[in-house]
Amino acid sequence: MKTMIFLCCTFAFGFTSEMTRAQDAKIAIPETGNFTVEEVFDLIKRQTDYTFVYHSDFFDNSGDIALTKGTVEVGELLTTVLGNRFDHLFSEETHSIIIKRTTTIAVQQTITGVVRDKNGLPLLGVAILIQGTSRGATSDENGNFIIDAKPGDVLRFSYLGFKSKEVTIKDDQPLQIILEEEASELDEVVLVGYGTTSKRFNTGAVSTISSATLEEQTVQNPIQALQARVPGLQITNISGRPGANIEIRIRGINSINSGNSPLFIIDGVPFNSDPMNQFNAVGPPEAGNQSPLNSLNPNDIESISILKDADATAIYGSRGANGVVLITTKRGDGEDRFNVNVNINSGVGDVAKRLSLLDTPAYLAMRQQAFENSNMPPNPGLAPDLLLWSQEQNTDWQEVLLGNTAHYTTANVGFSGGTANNHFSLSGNYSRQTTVYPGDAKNERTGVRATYDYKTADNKFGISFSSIYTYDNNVANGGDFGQFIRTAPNMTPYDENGDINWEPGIFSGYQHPLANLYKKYVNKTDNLITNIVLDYDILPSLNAKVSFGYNFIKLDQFYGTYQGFNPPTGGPKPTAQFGNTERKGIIVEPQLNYHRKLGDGEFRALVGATIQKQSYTGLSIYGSNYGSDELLNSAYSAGDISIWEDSRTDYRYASVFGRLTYNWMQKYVFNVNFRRDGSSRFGTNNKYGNFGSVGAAWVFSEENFLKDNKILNFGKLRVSYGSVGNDQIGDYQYMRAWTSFQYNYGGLDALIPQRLGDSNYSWEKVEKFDVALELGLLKNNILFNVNYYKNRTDNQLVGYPLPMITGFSSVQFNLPAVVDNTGWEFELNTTNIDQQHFKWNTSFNISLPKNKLISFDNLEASGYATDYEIGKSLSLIKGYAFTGLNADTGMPEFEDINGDGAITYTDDRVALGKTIPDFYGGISNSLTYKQWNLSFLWQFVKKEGFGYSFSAIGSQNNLGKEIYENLNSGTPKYPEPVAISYPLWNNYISSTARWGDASYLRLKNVYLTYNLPESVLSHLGIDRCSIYAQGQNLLTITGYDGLDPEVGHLMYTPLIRSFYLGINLSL
Amino acid sequence: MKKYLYLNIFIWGAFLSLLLVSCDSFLDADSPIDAVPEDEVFQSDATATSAVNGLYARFMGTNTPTLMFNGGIGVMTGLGADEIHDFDGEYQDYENNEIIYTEFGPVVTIWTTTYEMIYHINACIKGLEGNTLITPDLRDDLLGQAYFIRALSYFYMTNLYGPLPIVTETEYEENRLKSRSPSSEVYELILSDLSKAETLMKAPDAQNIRANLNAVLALDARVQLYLEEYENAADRATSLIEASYGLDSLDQVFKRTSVETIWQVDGVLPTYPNTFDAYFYSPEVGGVPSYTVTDDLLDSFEDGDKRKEQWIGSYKYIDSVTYYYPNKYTQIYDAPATESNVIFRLAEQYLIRAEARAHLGDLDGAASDLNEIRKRAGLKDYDGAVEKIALLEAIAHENRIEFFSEWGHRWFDLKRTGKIDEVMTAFKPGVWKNTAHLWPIPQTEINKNPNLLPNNDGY
Repeated sequence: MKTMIFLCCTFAFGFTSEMTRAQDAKIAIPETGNFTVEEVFDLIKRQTDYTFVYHSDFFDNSGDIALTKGTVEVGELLTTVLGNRFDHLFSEETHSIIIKRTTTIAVQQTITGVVRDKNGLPLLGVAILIQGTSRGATSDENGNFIIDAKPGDVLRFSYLGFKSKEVTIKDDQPLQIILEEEASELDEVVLVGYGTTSKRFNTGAVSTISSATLEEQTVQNPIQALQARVPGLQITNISGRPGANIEIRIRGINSINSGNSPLFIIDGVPFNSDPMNQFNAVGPPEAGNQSPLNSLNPNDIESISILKDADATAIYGSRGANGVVLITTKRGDGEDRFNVNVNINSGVGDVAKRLSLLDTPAYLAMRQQAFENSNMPPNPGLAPDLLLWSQEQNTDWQEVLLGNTAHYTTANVGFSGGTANNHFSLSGNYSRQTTVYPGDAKNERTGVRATYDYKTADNKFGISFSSIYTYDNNVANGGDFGQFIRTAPNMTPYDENGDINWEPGIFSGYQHPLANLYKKYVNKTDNLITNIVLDYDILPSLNAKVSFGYNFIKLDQFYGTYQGFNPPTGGPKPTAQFGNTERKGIIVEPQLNYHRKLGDGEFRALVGATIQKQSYTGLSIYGSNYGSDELLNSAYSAGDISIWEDSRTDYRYASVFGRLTYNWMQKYVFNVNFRRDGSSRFGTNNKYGNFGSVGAAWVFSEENFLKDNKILNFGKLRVSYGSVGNDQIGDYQYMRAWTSFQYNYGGLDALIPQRLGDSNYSWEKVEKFDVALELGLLKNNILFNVNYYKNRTDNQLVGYPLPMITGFSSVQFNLPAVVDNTGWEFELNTTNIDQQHFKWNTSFNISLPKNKLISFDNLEASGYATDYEIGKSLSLIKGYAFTGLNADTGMPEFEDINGDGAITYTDDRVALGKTIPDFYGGISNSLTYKQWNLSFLWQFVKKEGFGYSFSAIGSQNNLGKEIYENLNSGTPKYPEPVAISYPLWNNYISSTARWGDASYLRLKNVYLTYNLPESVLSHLGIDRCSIYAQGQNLLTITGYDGLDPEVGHLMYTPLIRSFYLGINLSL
Repeated sequence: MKKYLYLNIFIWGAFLSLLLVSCDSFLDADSPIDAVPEDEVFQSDATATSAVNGLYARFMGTNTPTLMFNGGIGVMTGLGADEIHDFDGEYQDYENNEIIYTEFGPVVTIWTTTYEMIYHINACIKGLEGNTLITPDLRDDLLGQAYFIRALSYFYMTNLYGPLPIVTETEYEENRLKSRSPSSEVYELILSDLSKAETLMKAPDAQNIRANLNAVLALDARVQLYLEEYENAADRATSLIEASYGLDSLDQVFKRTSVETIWQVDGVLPTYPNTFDAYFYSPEVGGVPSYTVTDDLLDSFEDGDKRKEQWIGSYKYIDSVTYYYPNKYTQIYDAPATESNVIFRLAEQYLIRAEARAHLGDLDGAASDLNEIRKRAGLKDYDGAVEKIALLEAIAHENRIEFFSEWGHRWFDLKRTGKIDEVMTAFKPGVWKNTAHLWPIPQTEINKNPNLLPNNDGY
C-alpha cells in the first residue's frame, strides 16, 4: 500500500509562552464559509507550530465543513472537523497532531511512532514493513511514521546502513524506535570536514580509525596508535623518550621550507601540534621538545579521521595542504541507561637491542694502536683513558645508561548516561611512565573530560558541549642518555658514595655521560579544549549551527643545571631557566546545512564561516650564579637574571566556505567544496586566497548490469581534484623588525635587527588529484581499495637562503619551485572466517610514496643547490662517494666527482638516497575464539638511512666489535684508528660507506583479551569484563646496525619494548 | 515557544555579525610586543641609542671561541701562528693551517656574525644619517660609533679573509650577489669611516665601554701603520700617549679599572660577567688547559721578563708535566665582574710609534718608546744596535711578547711584515703552506653567492 505522509513545518509564531498546551490554543477563523478538511488543517498549521500526520487518502472524499468567523480552541475545532470517523492525538514531543481512524475494530489500529538513530537524530526514509504482508510505510524528515497494524503484528524497520529491527505491536501507544548502525564497514559514518558521509558515498580519500582499534594499544600519544594502520600516513618516532615529539606526514613532503604537519582538529577546535619549547637555545635538540598531542588521552578518543585528498581537505582551505586529522572524543550514547567503565593496566618496558661494543682490553688495545698509527705518544690531554684511568674497570655503558626497566600505569574511569534527548559522559584518567634511564625521570598525566548533549523534545534545537582538560607532568633529565653509550668502557661511572665519578683529565667542555642526572627538565602542560555547538532545525530541510571552540594550552618549564653537572674542578655556578608558553585559540564557526530531494537524488548544501584568533605568549627567564642547588627552583634566588624571551604574537584567520553535494540515485555523487581564506600571516596585498575542489563518485555496483552480482557487492570509482594551501610560517614575517637583544649592554637596553621583511609573499599552493577504486566482494567479506594520488606543490613559501653578507641567512619568499608527491595506496580488509565461535579478520595496507622536485628556478645559485637535485626527492641525502682506503695510510678516500683534485662539499657529493620510505604499511590480524581475542599488528618500512654514527675510529669513544675485528682482519674496510679526529672523518661518516638499508619489520602490537562469559557476568552483575595482555614493539627484524632503524643514526633512545596487563570493566 | 524566536535571532545574528565585521580590520593582528618595526627604531633618542648599544651586546654573545670580538680571533690566529697549541684537539684544523670551511667552525661563524654586525651598523647609519628627529649631538655621536665599528669590523675581516664584498647598504636584493673587492678598496672604506667617526665623536666616558674618539685614534694609528703611513701613525699614537692614559702595573693591565685601557667591552652573559679569554685558556674549567703556550713562545721571553710570570699560568698535571697557558685574564664566573675584554690599550700605541719612528729614522725616539714597554716588564733598556733593522726586530719581538694571545696581533704582524712564511715554515715544517695566511671564504656562503668565487688560493 502506498502511504504518503503529509508534512508541514512552520516558523514559530502565534504562540505565547503561557499557552503551552496545544489543544488549548485558540485558532482564528478568518471568515464565515465552507472549508475542506485540508484547508482547516492548513489554518491550524499556520497559527501553531504543529504539523499533521495522517494518511493522505483519509480525506479524499470528505465534504466541506461550514465554519463561522471567530476564534475557537484547536481541540474543539478538530472534533468538529473530524467527526466520529477520526480521532486526533497531540504529540507534544514531535510537535505534531496525529489523525487516526477511530478504532472500531480491535484488530486493526493506527500505529504511530518515531525512528531515530542512537544519537537521537530522526531518520528519514526508514522502510517499515508488517512481517508476512506487503503493507508498509516510510518515515518522514522528523522520523515520524504511521501504519495500520494489529496487536501481535511484527513491524520490521530497515534502513540502509543500520541494523534492521523487529518490534511486536502490543497496544496503540506511539513507538520509540532506535536503530543501531550496521557493522558493515561501507556504511559506517565517516567524519569529514564540517559533516559526515559514509564509505559508500564518500567522494574523497578519508581513513577512519575507531576507538576499538585505538584500544588495542597502550601508547602515550594517541597518534602513535595510528602507525602502520592508515595508508598514506607516515609516523616516525624521533626518540623513545617519554613524550618525545613525533613526525606526522600525510602523503609525503609538500613543502620545501614551511611546515609539513597536518592540521589537527579536536572536537571542532584547531589544535597546534608543533612542540612548544622555550629551551631550544640550550639543551640538546629534543630535550623539552615534546609533542603537545601527548596531552591527549587515547582512551578518550572515539575516532580519528585522516583527510587526504582535495575533496576532503579543500574545505580547510589554506590549512589543508598537508592533510587534516579530525579527532572526535567519546560522548554519551543516548541509550536510556547508566554506564560505568573502568580500564586499568600496568606494564614494564626496556630497550630490546644492545650494540656489541668493545670491552676494556680490546678498547685499550685499539687506543694504543691509534696513537702508534698517529706516531705520537699519548698525552694526558688526548688520552686520559690510557694514562690516568683504571685499566681494569669494564663498564657496560648501555646497561648503565639505558638498562633500567621502565614502569607504566594507566587508569581510566568513565561514567555515561541519560536519555535519548539528554545525555552526558564524564571520565577521568591517569597515567604514569618511568624510563629506562638512571635517575628518577617520569611522565605523569591526569585528565578529566565531560560531554553533555541536549535536544529539545521536538528534536529541533540541540546543544552539545564537550570539555577536555589534561595536566601532563614530564620530569626528564637533560639530554638523551642514549648519546653516551660509546663512552670509554674503562671509565668508572659511580664512585664509592654512589655519586657520579669524575675521572681525572677530562678536558674543557667535556660532558660526563651521567652528568645529565644533574640537569633536570620539568615540563608541565595544562591543556583545555572546550567546544559548544548550538544546533537548530529552522526547517526540516534547513539546519543552522554555530560552533564555538576554545583551546588553551600552557607549558610551564623548568630547566636546572645543578652544581654536580660540572666537574669538581670548577664550572659555572648553578643555573636555572624558566619557560612559560601559552597558546590560546578561539574559533567561531556558523554553518547552514540544507538538504532536499531533487529529481531522483538528494541535494545537500553547506555554507559557513570561520573566525579564528590565536595568540601565543612566550616568556623565558634565565637565572644564573645561584648560591646553591637548593635555591634553584625560584628565579628570585638567582644571582643574575636575564629575560631571554618575552613575546606575544597574534594570528587571525577569517573565512567563508561552502559545499554542494548531489547524490543521484545512490549511484552518482558529485561534491564541490569552496573556501575563501584571509590570514594575518601575509602582507597587506596578499591576505586572501581562494581554494576549492570537485569530486565525483560512481557506485557502479548499483548499475543494472552489476546489481545482484553474486561476487561483487560493491564497486565504486571516485575521483577528485582541487587546490589547497599552506600558511605554516611564522607570524609577522612581512614586517622588517628590530628586537631587544636578550641581554642589555652597559646598563642600557640593546636593540638588534630581527628580520628582513617582505610583504609580497603569499600562500603556498598544492593541487591535489586523487582517483580510487573501491570494491566489496563476497558479501563484503573482502573490501579492497586502491588509490592513486598526485599532489603538486607550487609557489613554495621558503625562508629564501641569503648569503650572510646581507645580514641575514634568509628572507620569506615565494619560490616558483614545483614538488610532486605521487603514490599508490592499497588497502585490503578481509573476513576470513566468520563463525559463531571463531572469527578471523585481516587488514593489510601498503603505501608507495614518491616525492620529486620537478623544477626549481636557478637552483644552482640558490643555496638549496647543495641539498636538492631536480628530479630527486626532497628528502634527498647527499654524501661523498667512498672509494676505499688508501693502501699506505689506511685513510678513507673519496671519488673526485668534478676532477679538480680536491674533495669539496659542493662539487664532490653524490646522491646517497632519500629518507622517505620506498613503501610502508602494516598487516593486522584479529582472531576471536569464544571468549578469547588475539590481535597483532606488524609494521613494515622499506627505507634507507645512515648506519649509526660513531666518532673517529681511534678517538676516545668505544667501537662496535665488528669494526674492531675487521680492522685486524687483514682486509680492513674501515679507516685505520688514529688518535685525533681528522677532517676526512666527517666526509667518511656522511659517505656511501655509512649509507645503506634501514628497512625493518616490527611486531608493533599484540593484544590478547579474555572476555568473561555472560554466565559469570550476570552473577557478578556487570555488563562486560575483559582481561587483557598487550605488548608494544615486541620484535624488530632488521639488518640495520644501530639501536633502532626508526629513530635512526643519531644515538637517541630506541623505541621501548613494553608489556602490559590490564582489565576493562563495564557496569 | 518564543525562545525559538530568540534562538533564530541569535543564530541569524551570528551570521550577520560575521558579515558586518570587516574582514580586513579583523585580520590586522596585534603587533608583537617584542619587536619594533625598523622605521620606528630611529624616531626617538632612546630607541636610537639602544640600536647602537645593540652593537656592543653582540661582541660577547657566545662562550666558544667562534666570534670575532669575544676573544675567538685571539685563539684561532694564535693556533694558526706560533703562540698556542690545541691541547684537547678541538680546533686541530686551525693549528694545522688546514681549515675546514664547509659548514661549521670559527671560519664560518666569524664571517657570518661579523656580517650580521655590518648589517646592523649599516641600518644604524641609514637610520641616523640626516635624521632630524634625534637630538643632533647624540645623533652625531651614535653615527660616529657606527662608522667606527664598521671600520673595525672590515679591518679584521680583510686581514683574515683578504678581498671582501663591501656592503654599506641594507637592501638584500642589492647585496646578495656582491663580489669581492680588493683589500685596498676595503681599506679606503675603513679610512673614510674612521675620518667620519673622528669628526662626529666625543671624548671617552669614564668606563671606556663604548667606542670613543680615542678608540678611533687608536685604530687609526694601527691602520696607518699597516698602510705604512708612518707619520700619520706616529701622530695618532702621540696624541694618545699624551692623553690621560698610562701604563699600568702588569697585574692591573686587564682589570676594568686599568689606566691603560682606551676601550674595553663588558661581558653580557650573566654566567660569564668577565671575559671569555679566561674561560678559554684556564684549566679551571676542565681540569686541563684547552690551549697551551708553545715552547717557542715560552722560550722567547727574555730572562727576568715579569710578563712571563704574570701573564702565563702554569699547571702541574697528574702526569707531573707542567703545562703553560695564557693567563692575562683570570676571572671567569665571579660577579661582580672585575675584568673586561680590552680592545685597545696604551702599550700598543708606544709600540706603533716606536715602529713608525724607526721607519722615519727617529731611532732614539723609537728606542725610548720601546723602553717604556720593557721598563714596565722589569727589563733593562734596549741595548742592541741603534739602527733601523735591529730596532724593528726588537720592536717586533716586543710586540710578540706584549700582545701574545691578544686579538691576533702576532698573526697580523707576521703577515704585514711579510715574515709569515719564513717564521711559520721554520716553526711548522711540512705543515705550513704559503697560502695559509688567508682564511677561506666559507663554502656555505659561496653556495648562496657564487660571485664570492674564486676562493682564496689554496682552498
